[in-house]
Amino acid sequence: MRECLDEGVLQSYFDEELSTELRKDVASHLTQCSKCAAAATELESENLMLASALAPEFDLPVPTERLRQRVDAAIAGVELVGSTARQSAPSRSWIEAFAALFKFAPQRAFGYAGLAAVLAFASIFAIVKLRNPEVSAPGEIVETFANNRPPEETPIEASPSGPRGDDSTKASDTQPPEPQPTHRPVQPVKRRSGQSAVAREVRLLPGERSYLKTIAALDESIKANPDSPMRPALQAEYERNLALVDRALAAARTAAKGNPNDPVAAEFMFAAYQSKVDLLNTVADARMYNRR
Amino acid sequence: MKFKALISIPLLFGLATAALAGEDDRKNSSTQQVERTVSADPSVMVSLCVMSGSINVSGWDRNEVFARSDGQQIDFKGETTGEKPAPKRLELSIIEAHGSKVRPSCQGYSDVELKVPQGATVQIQTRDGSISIAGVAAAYAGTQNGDITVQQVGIWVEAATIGGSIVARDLGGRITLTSIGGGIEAINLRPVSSGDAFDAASVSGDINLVQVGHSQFNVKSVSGNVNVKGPLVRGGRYGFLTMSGDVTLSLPADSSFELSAKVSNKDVVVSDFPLQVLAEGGSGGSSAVATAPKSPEPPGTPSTKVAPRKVKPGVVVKLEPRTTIIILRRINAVHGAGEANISVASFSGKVLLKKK
Repeated sequence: MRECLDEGVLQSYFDEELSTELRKDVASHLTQCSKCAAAATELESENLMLASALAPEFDLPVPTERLRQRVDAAIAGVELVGSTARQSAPSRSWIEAFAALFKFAPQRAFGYAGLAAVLAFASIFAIVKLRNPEVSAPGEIVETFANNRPPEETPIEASPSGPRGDDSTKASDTQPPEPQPTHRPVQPVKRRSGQSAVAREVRLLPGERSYLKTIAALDESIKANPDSPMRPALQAEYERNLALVDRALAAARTAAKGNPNDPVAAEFMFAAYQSKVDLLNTVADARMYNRR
Repeated sequence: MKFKALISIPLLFGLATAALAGEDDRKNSSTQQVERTVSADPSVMVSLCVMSGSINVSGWDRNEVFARSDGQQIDFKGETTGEKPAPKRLELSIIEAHGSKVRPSCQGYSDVELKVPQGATVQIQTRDGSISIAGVAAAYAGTQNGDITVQQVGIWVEAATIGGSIVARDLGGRITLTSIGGGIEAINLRPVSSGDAFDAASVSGDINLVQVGHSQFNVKSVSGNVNVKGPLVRGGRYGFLTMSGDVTLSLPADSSFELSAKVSNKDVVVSDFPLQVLAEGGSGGSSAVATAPKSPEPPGTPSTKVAPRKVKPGVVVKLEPRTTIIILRRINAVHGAGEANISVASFSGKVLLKKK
């Protein structure tokens, strides 16, 4: 053996894990190689130091007497519980079963840990859910409403002539109608768990309520007098164009909500609202004309 | 018994004869035309409202109102007789062919032809039918299902239809054209006074305007395209608003205007004119030039990044999207001395400035 010994071989040498032949070779090499001899000396001293440091632990019998006593006591206890359970009254069995839940046997520890994690996540989710939907950004009006009926508010005037006099093309001049304070207490609508997305959709931006109020009134006017249904030609034209306006309105509203600080986005949204008001106004006038 | 028979037989015969005569009269009335003429003030206001029927109105050089219907009598409310002055207001109604019962307003069914003094103002309404008006001073025309044609009207025009289209030619004064589903075409319009404005609006119909000389000009559409051809008025204010339609302005090469465009990040402003971009801005109202996105030019076009900067003709000022949601952009630019002001807002349509 001419090459230097690595640390693993030396450690095996000191642990007496080498074969007899290999052990002789190593011993012979150590007498000839000063470098390996020095390494062996250093490794031996480390082993000695480690052995002296761990001597109290190594001296104890494995398993220790104390552990052996605990194991014996546990075995005896299990036997005792089994025998008393068989002998005790049925009315006390639930107490023991409940108490058994708190005996943290290794198999149950994982179950309890999992349960604790689920409870923690549920608590966090509940806290987040309670806080977020109720808190609105400053200046935002958060409401939900059914059947396209917003709460009472002073409505904007529905111009009878549609676009006449409407300066919505001058986007810089477009101002959302001033939202008036509502006098009727708003009844919050109970939300089911799956309605949070819907609730976010109907979160109103400032100025929207007046338009929604006007739209609801016009819609009601159009649908009034169900005994006299809308003529098919008018209804077809109305529904086709209403779908277009609603699509444009939805897109503009999404943009306005996505860019809450952008006045241009708000201007487009209000322009779309005005287009819908104009359309409904025209159709409502037509309905009145047909009822004459 | 014989007495009863003697009475009942002639009675039945008489009834049958009367019924046959009435049927013949009805057949005749549906094919005959009823005409009537009354004198009127030169600037008379004539109104007519029917439920169904096409109405054709034209001006003539007489101080009379002539009406012709297809078999229905026409009542002239406001008519004067004798030496009383000619009426300044006439309200026409359809009367049932047999009898003097005047149908309630707007309940008549008849095609009507009217001739009125050239200085007259006419107000025409029908539910189902087209309207044609020519050669009067002022006109209002409204129909639900029908086209409207207005020509050579001098002071003001207002036309509105739901399902039909509107054609307006050679008009003067204040003009308002509104269509829901049909297109609007206007050619050769001019203001009479400085306050006269031109307004056109549609939901899904296209709006095509040629040679509109009004200095106050507002056009809006939801999904229809807007096309404008003709020179701009010095000092004119032009407003265009569409949600998804394109706006195309075909202007003379020497047009002088200031452009204020508001478009989405997905769309572009394409200009044949060498625009001097004054500012570009994104959402949030921050410094427009500082936040201006890069403008990729087509091959061969020099890059222009200095503000204010000169944009070569044919440049596509494309706005790069920053996020997946729509972000709106503002572009202020000028060509020439900026004598006219063009404000274009298109939510998801293109803005095209073409040289004529």
